[in-house]
Amino acid sequence: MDAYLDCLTGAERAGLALRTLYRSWGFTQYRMNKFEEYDLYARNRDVLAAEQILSFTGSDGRLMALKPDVTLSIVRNTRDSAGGVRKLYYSEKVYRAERGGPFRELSQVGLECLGALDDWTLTEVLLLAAESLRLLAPGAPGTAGRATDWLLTVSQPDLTARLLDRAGLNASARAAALDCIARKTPHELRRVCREAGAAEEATDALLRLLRCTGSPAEALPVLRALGEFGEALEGFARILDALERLGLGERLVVDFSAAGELDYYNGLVFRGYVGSVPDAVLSGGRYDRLLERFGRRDRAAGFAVSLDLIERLWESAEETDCELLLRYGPEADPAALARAVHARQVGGTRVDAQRCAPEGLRYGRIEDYRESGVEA
Amino acid sequence: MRKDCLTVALPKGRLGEQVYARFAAAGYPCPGLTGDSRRLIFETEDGALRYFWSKPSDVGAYVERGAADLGVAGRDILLEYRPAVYELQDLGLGVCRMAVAARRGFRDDRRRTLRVATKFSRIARDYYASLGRDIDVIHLNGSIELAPILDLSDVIVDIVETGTTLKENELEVVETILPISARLIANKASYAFHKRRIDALVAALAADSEE
Repeated sequence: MDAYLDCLTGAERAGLALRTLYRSWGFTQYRMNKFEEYDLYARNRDVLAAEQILSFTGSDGRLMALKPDVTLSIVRNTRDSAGGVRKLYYSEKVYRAERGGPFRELSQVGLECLGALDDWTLTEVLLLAAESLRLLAPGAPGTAGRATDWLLTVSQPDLTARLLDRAGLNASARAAALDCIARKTPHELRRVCREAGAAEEATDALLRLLRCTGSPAEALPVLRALGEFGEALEGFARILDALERLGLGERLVVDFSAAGELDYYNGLVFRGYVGSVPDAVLSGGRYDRLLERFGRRDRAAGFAVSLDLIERLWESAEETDCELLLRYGPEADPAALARAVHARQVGGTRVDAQRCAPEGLRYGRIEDYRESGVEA
Repeated sequence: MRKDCLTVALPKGRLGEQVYARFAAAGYPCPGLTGDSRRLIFETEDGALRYFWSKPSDVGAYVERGAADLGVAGRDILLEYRPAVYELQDLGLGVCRMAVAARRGFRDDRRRTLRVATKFSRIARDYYASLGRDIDVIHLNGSIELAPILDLSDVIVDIVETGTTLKENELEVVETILPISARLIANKASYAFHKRRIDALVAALAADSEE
């Protein structure tokens, strides 16, 4: 089995580990076409992470797109579940151009829960996000490098929305304020609120939300002091409490910089970080509003892992291109060479038979049979 | 190097020297940084921080990609390159403004596309888009003031500190686009992992600026 795993790239091995994890929790794989009608993405462009979509005309004349996002396809192509929760995982390629750069093919593995969500389902999603990070972090089996940290930042975007409502900001000031919270920029947030005529108290509440970063035990009292949020806060607190009781308290950081996408997420947003990777490798949340756009009654939550970001963690540099070179002479018998290669492949050793080593390739050792017959 | 050492990208030049002075006064001195050493990276004596000098426009890239945990960049650089970083603090240093300037007496003829020479193409595009003004951006990398004098452009969009260079070349500010100052920026993952130490540094820098 190890020899098979050695054939995979770091991202593929990481993806395999994650898929195995999700299967073990009863999730079933959702496979999808690489293409979708362009219209799906054009109508929902506001919730897409991709700035540009790769489109082409299909054989029947319809405008098609190479999918830039997985969740939209799942929401469109599944039906409301009757009572239970449909638990799906996927391993897909998406195609995006971001921040003016070229189009790239990106590998994503993730999961989605669609149906009647309750505290357990949300806890399960966050628990699996945490388990994914534990698997991906350096030091985990299969990864390269020293063991380092991983952590999950969590937030409740409905609190951000309510504080913005309280500040009475118009649409453009609201977008600017959200951007300030996402960039943790208190000085700009203060300016935006002042210029929009927000009350001092409402501005102060937004600033305290922006600065509210810490463990659940540190953050929850700060959030409770910001106002009466009812179930929006208490539901969030229950999930955090469940995760703390599962021993994840030290890995959780409440942080509202990730709660900027109010058109997409409600109830819960989270991001996952593993040491030495400079950006979030995992992102997800609850997205009931997206289902409502499609006339669905189901609620939904899920996350995606960007395998491209963790590729370096899982790619140990190979010192050689091939472990053994068998050099043979002009008189060598092809059948004897084949038997010699077979005999040396035991235990997964990589063996290459050549008359001379191709330029640029590195071999661990060389057996030279140019002058003598090849030994099996 | 200490395992929890934080790496700070400082912008080369006069602003960088002011910024380093602020860091030193806040309790993070590193005497070697201001000497003639050919070394590229300098560590504080206690190993808490290490600094390196960077081209100002590259600071955002170092921080976004995690090669530096923290950095200091002008608001102009952040708006032009839009690195995905946290902008934790306005250091109040390097205060100037991004402005539109033209030859003295210039009058904008809105029947024509406005020719705009600048190093800050994105800021210029965003600004004129907000006004609904059609422009032709001429991207230059230096000596922007030459453009209107040689009729390469109608106006320039550039940083203005005192306005002396403009005045000496018979140019004047037509419009201020936005105020500029140096900002402390942080890598998102670094902030998540080193929040306490970064917050302490932010507080120390703030306390020093208030003294």
